[in-house]
Amino acid sequence: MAIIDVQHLGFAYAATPILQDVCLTIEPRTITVLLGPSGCGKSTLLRLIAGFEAPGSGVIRIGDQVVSQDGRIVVPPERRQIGMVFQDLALWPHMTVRTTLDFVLRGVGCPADERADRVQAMLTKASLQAVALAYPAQLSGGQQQLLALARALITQPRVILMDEPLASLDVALREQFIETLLRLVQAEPLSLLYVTHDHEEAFTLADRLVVMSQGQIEQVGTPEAIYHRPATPFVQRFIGVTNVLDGIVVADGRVQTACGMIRCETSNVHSGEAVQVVIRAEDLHVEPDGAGELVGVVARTVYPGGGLLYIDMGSRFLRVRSSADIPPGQRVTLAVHRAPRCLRRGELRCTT
Amino acid sequence: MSRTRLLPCTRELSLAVGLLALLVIGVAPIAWIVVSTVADTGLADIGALALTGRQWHLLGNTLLLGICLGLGTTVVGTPLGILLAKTDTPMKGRLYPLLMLPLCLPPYLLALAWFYLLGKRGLLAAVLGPGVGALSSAWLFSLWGNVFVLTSAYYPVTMVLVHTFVTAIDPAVEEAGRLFLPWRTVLARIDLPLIAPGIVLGALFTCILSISELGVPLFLRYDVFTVQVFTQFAAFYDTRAAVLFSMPLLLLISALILVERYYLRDRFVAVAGSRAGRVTIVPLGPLRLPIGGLLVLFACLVVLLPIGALCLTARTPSAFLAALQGSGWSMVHSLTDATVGATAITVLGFVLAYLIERSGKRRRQGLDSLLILLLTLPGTVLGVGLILLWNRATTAWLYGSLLIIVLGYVARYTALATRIQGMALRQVPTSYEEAARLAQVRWGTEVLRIHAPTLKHSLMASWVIAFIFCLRDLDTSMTIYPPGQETLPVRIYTLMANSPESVVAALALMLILMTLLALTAIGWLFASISGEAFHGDH
Repeated sequence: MAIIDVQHLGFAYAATPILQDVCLTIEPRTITVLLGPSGCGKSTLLRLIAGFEAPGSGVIRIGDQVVSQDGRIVVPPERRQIGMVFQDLALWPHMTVRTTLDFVLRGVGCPADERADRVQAMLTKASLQAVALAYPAQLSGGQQQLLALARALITQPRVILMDEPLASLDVALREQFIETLLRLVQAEPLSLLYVTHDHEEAFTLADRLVVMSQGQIEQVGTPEAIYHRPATPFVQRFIGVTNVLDGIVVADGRVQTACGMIRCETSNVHSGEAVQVVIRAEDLHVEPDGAGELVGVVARTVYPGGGLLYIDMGSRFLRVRSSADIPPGQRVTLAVHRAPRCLRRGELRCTT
Repeated sequence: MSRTRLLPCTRELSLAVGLLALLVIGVAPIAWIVVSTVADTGLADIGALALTGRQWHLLGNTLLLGICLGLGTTVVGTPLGILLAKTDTPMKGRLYPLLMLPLCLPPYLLALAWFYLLGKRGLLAAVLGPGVGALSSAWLFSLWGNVFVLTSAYYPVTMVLVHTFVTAIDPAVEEAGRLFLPWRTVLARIDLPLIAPGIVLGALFTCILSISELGVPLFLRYDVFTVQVFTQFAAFYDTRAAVLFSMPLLLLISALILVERYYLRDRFVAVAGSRAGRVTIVPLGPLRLPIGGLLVLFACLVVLLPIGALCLTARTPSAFLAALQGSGWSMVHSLTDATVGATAITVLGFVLAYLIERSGKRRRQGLDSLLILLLTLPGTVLGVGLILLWNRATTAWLYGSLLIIVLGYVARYTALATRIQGMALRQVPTSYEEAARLAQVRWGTEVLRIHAPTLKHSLMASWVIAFIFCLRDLDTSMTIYPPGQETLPVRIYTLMANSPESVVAALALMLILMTLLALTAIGWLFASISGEAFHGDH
């Protein structure tokens, strides 16, 4: 049985629709990641599930209980048994680490004798014993993050919501936190609903990925399915490093673009139609013997992340995944290894 | 090349002139009091004089009034601030400016209004009989009457501070608590500790304001230091005694400011967050209407009732005509002094705000404390200092003109303009100035072409607020006004003893009207700011 069940959810601020007809289920003991560009409504969905806002329409169930329904909050946040890690952490500045954890347990009615043990256990688990008496302002960024996580975990909630918790951390701290989170999940399976706009974070953590755009869910699936089998033009463009080219279908399987003629999958379009071609960076290959169909000049080589070449095609750059050591200024030819799909103009909802 | 070299000079020179102006106008009179007292009397004699029974009695009364007022404004202002900022109280948009009004009126006008209501021959006595009038009058002229009138004048300070602190709480901090706790616990255990610095600041500030208040205790005959300073100076012409009575006040207020500085050292940062300013409203449920009704009742009691008493006392158009004929020129003086004063305060306020905001922490705190000391110092003490410093043959041109009043206003109220413009300056990225400096723009041009347009709303707001405070000033003006330069508050005060009540009430209403017009200007100003912000957001 799903731990969270969202059906036909709608929400608007003033007259602006933020979420439209969102349906989603969160399975127990899985990490579900909501991925989408800024402003797509993913944080709002989280706040609706937490009970901080009432949905305009639709139903939210936690377990078998209806918690929000058609414009009203049926169960207030404090009775939903959920934990949350906020984007800016929202630590209480006037409480020490120990007081924070104790305060939360007291709030859920935990008996005094049990509280001390649970606080101690959580301090150990989160490696916060040494700073138990420190205030949030006296903690490092990583320790603050751990305290926010410990606060969400200590009540053993049914589900933990995480709203871009790593947004303000540097790369090293991000990796450290993700590692801690994965260890925790390994030790005791948690139900997590994690919001992010960062692809790497999403693909690292997700058991199940939900891609959102403009208040709607575009696709739900495993990270592998979403990467290799994008269900909508938006997902196709949003996931991974892509090149989008405008072109005209000139004959079956061929599209004339500003970069040259490209072989495409054109079964869904007609000859003479204006289309857009979406090519992943890893589907373009540099052909060493000059046998490629597109010709350009290497403009820049980006090393981190497996190597990315920026190829100057005259009117624009193409991004090509390659670990070859090609100096800038060298003329190269490119081949398209997997025939990309053609999309009618306007079919792509571009928000990134 | 030479132009580049001149750039920092222009800025530093302007800032140095601003700082010098503050030292000459505000610090020198106070320093003069201290130095002249020590020189004339000697430290040993000052010690002996300070330990007299009379001094202890005054200290006791002054502290008692201050403490009671600090508590009174906290009890009244804190729930008002929370209710208006945090709940869905009905009509709160209209109640907020109405409840702010007493802060813009001279407190002694409220004392006068309550006297017309509760005095021996007041409106209450007229309705319920002289027995009740005698009782209510005795109460009004007691410590508790003073506390009541001053609380009704100064509760908006705490209300505004609490409102500001509540608004500054990041809603996420509350939501983190809402996951485990009901609203009432979140308010008590998370919000209240976070707004505690605002509450303490309000209590301390109103305590200081009551200690420096002259008009109300003088009118309601409560024996405190400010009344003694004024009496020694104005009634007995004993400047030395006035100065001696000023010294404990100076020390007391400095000590309270130090307490405030120490307590609030790093506490402001505790509340601001990324979503600060977006207040989550707590629904009052079935209590919404009763609480709204109570607030309306409170506003009627402390704001509309005193103004109504003044209207009932003035009653006839002839009273207004007589007031205009007899005191029209004092209105002109008030308007002129307030206009010149507000302009000077705004200009100096900008320079000092720039100095404070773009300086290191220690210099910033020092300058800010100095300005707060001048704001909270009794007007009579400041007035005595100004007289000691400027009443000499070579400066007769200044001492005998409205300039001396303007100097008093600038010394006392520049802190208001500095705070307002400082808050606005904090929002302006320093990169604006750095870009101008790289483009070799002179500082004068930078101020006129970059700062003035960017800060125009805060400049206008600080001018209007300074104007209101100059217009309502009694303490400073009454001590230093030159012959023939009486301001309206001074005129009202001097007429109280020997003029028909209707004329005095009519004059008081005219002063309130002038203040209301200035407040309307503020309202219009902020409405236009909100409108621009709205357009900007889209």
